[in-house]
Amino acid sequence: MHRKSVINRVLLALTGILVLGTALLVLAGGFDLYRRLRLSAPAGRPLTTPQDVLLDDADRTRWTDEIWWWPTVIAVLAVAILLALWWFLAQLRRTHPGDLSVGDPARDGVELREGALSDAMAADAGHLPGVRRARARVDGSSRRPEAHIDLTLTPDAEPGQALQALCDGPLKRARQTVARTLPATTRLRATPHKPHRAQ
Amino acid sequence: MERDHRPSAEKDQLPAVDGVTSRTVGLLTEQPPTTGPQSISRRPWSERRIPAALTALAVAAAAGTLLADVIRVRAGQSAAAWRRHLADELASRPLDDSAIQAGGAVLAALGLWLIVLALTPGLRHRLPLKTPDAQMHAVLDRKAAELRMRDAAMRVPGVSAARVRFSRRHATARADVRFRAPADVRADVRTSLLQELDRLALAHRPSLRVRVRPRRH
Repeated sequence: MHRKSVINRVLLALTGILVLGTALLVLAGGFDLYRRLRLSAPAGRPLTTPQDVLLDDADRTRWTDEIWWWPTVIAVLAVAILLALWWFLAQLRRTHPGDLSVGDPARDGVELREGALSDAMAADAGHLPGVRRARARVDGSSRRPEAHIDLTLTPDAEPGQALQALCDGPLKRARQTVARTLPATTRLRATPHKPHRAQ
Repeated sequence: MERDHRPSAEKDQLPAVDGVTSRTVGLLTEQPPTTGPQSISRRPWSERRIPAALTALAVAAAAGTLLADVIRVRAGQSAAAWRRHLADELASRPLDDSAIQAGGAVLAALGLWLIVLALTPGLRHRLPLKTPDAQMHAVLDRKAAELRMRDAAMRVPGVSAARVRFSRRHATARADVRFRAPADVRADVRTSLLQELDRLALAHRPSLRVRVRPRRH
């Protein structure tokens, strides 16, 4: 799994646990579950009776006279905003391997731009039998580039054969060019068409 | 960086692209094609970019609004109306107030949903395929699989309309029968679809259900 996916999922899970935990605390108090189920709430747990309020004035203003309170509030909010913006912007970024070395051992002074490699793979895959349209993209780091290939098949093409042809042709040539294993992710689609009845 | 290539538009754009191809291909040494062992694609896991972006924006917007008002008050102005209103409501509504209970229920559902998003793979509309190479993962769009299965069912004589739906474990086909005995047509559709499932080379082969309906005019 990719690093971005792991980070996203961990942060989503933490947010979910925080939101769900707060909600359950409020609901347990609101529906008076502690008394109905004859549970004793642990000492110090807030919001245990239906008459409690979420945040009374005494709690809200408890520390407002302390000298450290407002700077702390402002700092915490600012950090939260920065982290959230960083998380948001990370979703818009794509990784780029940049220039790739060519051949094994790498030839001095010869570098292949990632765009040129994607172009070559897309053009190469577009000529395979059964492929109507091909798109390719290379991302990852320059040490571990990854290819993403998107093929639209004609209605009579077979997915297994198309993959075999892709692997033996364009993908193999690209791997030999950059002299790396070049992991590939392929997505196969079909164009929608009307059904034809058997004669 | 996304590159696009349509064979139909070859005449206009190919000189540049082909130049690149021939230069790239020129660096290669030819080797006979190898057919390695078939490897099974694992199901791809979604990066969850959209839920992450939305959650991040919501947190940033809430914290930003609060921070702006806190700074305004620190600078000597009075607090915004929404903040005073919110403080009043939080301090006056008891927990068994229906608005608080409804809000709690909505928050619980939202939290649960976020946890489900974090723990499940997603990308349910892509079916993993067997690939010829362990370094290659391949998926087939569910729509494409359904189209091909529908075409296979339509090739059976007697079928006037067909629809195939894929779920995680099953492929369900419904066919309308115009002529021939429905039981025969059903058997033929089943054979034809099983062959087509073989051709799709799915990593996890779904079980097949076929339903036929007579439709005579």
